[in-house]
Amino acid sequence: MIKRLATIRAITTALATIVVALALTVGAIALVAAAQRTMVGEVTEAAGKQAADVVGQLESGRPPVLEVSGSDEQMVQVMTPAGAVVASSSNVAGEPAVARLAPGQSARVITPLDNDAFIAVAQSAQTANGQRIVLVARALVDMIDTTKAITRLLIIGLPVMLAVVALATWFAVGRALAPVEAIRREVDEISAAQLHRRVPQPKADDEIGRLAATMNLMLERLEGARNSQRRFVSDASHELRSPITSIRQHAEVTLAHPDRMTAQELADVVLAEQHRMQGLVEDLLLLARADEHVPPPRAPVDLDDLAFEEGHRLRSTTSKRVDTSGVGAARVRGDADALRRVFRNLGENAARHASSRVDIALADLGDDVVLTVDDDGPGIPESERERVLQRFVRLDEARSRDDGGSGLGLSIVDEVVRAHGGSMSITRSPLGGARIEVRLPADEG
Amino acid sequence: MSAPAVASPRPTVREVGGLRLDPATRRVWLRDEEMDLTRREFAILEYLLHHPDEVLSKRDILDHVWNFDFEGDPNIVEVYVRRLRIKLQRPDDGALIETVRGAGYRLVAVRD
Repeated sequence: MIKRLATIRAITTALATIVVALALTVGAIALVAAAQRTMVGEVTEAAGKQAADVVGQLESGRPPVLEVSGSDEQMVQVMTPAGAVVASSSNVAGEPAVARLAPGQSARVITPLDNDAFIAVAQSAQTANGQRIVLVARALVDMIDTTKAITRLLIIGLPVMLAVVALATWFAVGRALAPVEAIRREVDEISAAQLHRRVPQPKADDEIGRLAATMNLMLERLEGARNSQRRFVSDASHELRSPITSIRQHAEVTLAHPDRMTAQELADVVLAEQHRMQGLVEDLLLLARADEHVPPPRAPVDLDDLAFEEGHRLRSTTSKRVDTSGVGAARVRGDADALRRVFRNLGENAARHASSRVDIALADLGDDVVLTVDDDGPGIPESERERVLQRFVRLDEARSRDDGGSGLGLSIVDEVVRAHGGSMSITRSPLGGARIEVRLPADEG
Repeated sequence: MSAPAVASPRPTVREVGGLRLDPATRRVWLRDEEMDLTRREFAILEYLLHHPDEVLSKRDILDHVWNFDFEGDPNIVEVYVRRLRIKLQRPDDGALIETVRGAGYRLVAVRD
């Protein structure tokens, strides 16, 4: 990761430097070319003007002024059309023609004066002695100097500028990526045991700030999931410990005092506790499956059948009066076994808390079907209604556990109902106790 | 809870009109198309097929298809009959459930 970060930084810096270098080089070449063109134009024009002066003098029959100012930067030659030099400036006295140009032409030439390039311009003059070619050559020395100056400036300036660009990019990218590195380091250190930690949140609301915020939200969800899982495991172990302890104690008593407990009595205790554990394990498995959020099957299920079934079961297992006269036909789509579990848990819960009566009612309201289970027990205080849906929560700890309630019943109902796209609410029953109402989407047709 | 046990050891396939019901496999066909019924719908149809052309009161159906100690809203029968009728509603119906006002229901074969 550190390597990768360095690579992003290096790549960005290299790219920025290369782009600037290319831009500057192209710019410099264009600048030199433009300057050269301007200067060649100026020198050619000056040479042409001087040649015209000489032509004027020759044609009027006056002796021409052939002397030049800078003795190694200018030269004049007057020659016959055949190329024989008849007169010249003193610095090229006796030299042959430097170039054979047609009148009106100009060209770069090499002169005997020095090695620098010259521009020569030729013009024609009609004298008393016949046609003459006047050739004026001027050194391009200014242009060469300027080009040299620009090139020198660039040779020194370009690396300096590139160094500045590279450094600026390097530090800017490093600065921008620093929070990323800080986030990475923090995430690297956050182990499963330290999910309460959060990554540093930069102040700016930029991409990296949002990344940090998202990561912190993810950590929060992870922490929540870890906490609820930990609580669940600890509660489950706690629940399983009491039947296990009970079995061990009874077995120890039987071993130590064979006269106090018969094998029959021990078997009864073991079976009862086994029953409790089995129920608990089944509930846990069901909840674990519900936590996977696998959508339930979509088979049509007649809830009225399940309601009558539960009514029968309660009548045979409790002494409470169970009223199912309010059960009408209601069909939903879903998992029949899971929905049967809803009825069983609600029925058992109501029977456990009822003092004498449990009412089960079912109605099809068109879009929804509504199941209500009422009891005439103490009811659930409003402040506890949210809490009883949590796993392993019982209102009356000591009493309910002996009654066989695992504290998972209503959580399971809640999970199954939600998986079926329904909702569950707890209110006060007209019978005086609790009313649990479940709404599920009705199956059309 | 379940439909009344059929007397013969090997339950016979019942047929009225184009409606055919096999108690052993708990499958029902209308003409040659298998019907998709819930358990309760099957039980009602099975009861009606045992008594073709006979008027069966709501109470009869409740007692036989639900239980003698049925404790619920008796209108449940109407809902199930309505659902069955919807499922039986096909062109060239083989059988239909008639309402006999004030008395109950009757399964009759349709002859065309």
